[in-house]
Amino acid sequence: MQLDVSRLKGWLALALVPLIVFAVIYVAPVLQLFWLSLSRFDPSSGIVPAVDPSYYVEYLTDSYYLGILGRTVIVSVATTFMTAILAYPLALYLLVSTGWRQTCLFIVLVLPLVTSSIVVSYGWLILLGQKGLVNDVVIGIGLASAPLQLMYTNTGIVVGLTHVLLVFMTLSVAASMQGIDANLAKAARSLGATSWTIFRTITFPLTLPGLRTGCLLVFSLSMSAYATPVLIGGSRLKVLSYLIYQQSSSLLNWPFAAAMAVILLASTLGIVGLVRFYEYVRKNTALHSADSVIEASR
Amino acid sequence: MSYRPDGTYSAFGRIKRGALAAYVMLVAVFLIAPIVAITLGSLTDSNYVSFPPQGLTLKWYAAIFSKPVYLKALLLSLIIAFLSATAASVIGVLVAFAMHRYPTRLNILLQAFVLTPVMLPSIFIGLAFLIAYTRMGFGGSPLGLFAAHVVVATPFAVSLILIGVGAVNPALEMAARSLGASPWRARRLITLPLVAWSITAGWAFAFMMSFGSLEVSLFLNTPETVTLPVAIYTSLEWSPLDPMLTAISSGLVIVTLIVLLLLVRTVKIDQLMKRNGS
Repeated sequence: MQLDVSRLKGWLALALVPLIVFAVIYVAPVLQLFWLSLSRFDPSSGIVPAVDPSYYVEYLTDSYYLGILGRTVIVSVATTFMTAILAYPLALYLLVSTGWRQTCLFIVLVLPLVTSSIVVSYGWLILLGQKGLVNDVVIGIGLASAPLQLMYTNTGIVVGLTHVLLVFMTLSVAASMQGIDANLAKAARSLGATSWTIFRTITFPLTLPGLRTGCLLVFSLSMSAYATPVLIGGSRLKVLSYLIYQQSSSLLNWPFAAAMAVILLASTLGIVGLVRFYEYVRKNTALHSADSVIEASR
Repeated sequence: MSYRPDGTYSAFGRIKRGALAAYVMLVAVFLIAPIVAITLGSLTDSNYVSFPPQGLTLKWYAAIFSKPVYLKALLLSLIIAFLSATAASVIGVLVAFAMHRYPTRLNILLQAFVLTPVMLPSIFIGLAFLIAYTRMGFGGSPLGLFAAHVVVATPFAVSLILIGVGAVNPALEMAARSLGASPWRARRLITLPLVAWSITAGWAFAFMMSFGSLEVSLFLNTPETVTLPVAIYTSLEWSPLDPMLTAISSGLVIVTLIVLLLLVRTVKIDQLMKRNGS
């Protein structure tokens, strides 16, 4: 639809205030952060304006810093994997249940997300400790003889992150499950397929777009999580977001903190972008080869 | 509404259906476990945090009232969440109508401004706010905190209100206009009641996101601007096993639950899933 002047005025009447407000309180600060990440910092005189990428070089050549980035990525991949496995039955149940059951499941899924991350992590602190309920149960039913170390481990962090982010994966998978034509499964059944075969050959392939959306969401949210890894992982198992906070609030080195924040953003968006790019290339080559097959058959 | 899923479920026998329900119960226990541990743990009679609680008492809740720091933090969090959720809903209504009534390429700009904050790491935007707001002169003030929370809460309000406005048939409003209603009257009597549920839901979601937000407030934290999550975070470093801290935390849970129930009463879960997909 072409936009004439009167329609543009109508659009502006609605959009102008949000645009100006967000330009000042959101877009300008973000752009400034990029700019500041190229400045230098001097402990005595403060921030020295410069165009100097040396904080990026410092981060990306230091094995200590790279190790922290590596662990952040590994924890995020593990969390994505865990949520994907847990989400499928939940998504199915969310769709087939009705009334209060559906509402209850929805509340239970959303609750960890909307409750402050600090409170949820505190809860895990109580449950996962040496004398916590989880260890009592594990020892009580004879799975272990001594308390397991769950706090301050990568496993603990993955448990905490999976807990908070499961809702994103479940809703994404449920959304694409909802679009599947029920006749496909009926046809498969009439031909003697078991429910496992139906899942493997119909449901799973058709929910791949939702699975992909869920994976990208969960991965990027795990990469940037703060409270869960800091409280469950402690100061020994640092993640990148903790490093950024430490650098800016204790050491007051804003330029270095800004450079690390950009690296965090770039590594998150970078992996997400790579996935998108790979799919784009594959789709195009698939179309191309399909074309050439048609071409050849003529 | 009554949706028959892809057929996998209808192929399930009684045992498989039972197994699925049992699995969902297990995951539900996993999902509510830490929150239950906090709320029930706060009732303990012992002088350290213990779950399951030993004895039952409300003395830790009474103890909060002798600590004005936490009450101040709770009050500030409530005010900031209320104001930023309201601002986010107003922005949400403006943006949703601009995008649905005027399909133009400029809407991409609008989307980039109000929907992307949720995609950026909260540590990233927290640091950006600290740097920029300090330079603009309202870094450590409640105003800076309010601005930051508006940014954090707006994407949630916008995406819900977009669903609501998108579901309204614009022909209804036009019909009212053709029968002589003024544009304002048509919008107030026809469109507004139809999108009201999404505005309430968007407000509630925005409120919860602001009320629980830790990272952004942590960066803008000064002695005058301590929100409840920040107060809990800093106390956790010194005395993680103080039962009073669980009492404060469950206070936070209770406020969140009340708003969540308001949200669930208004939201249409099936419509949510339709939009959430790719």
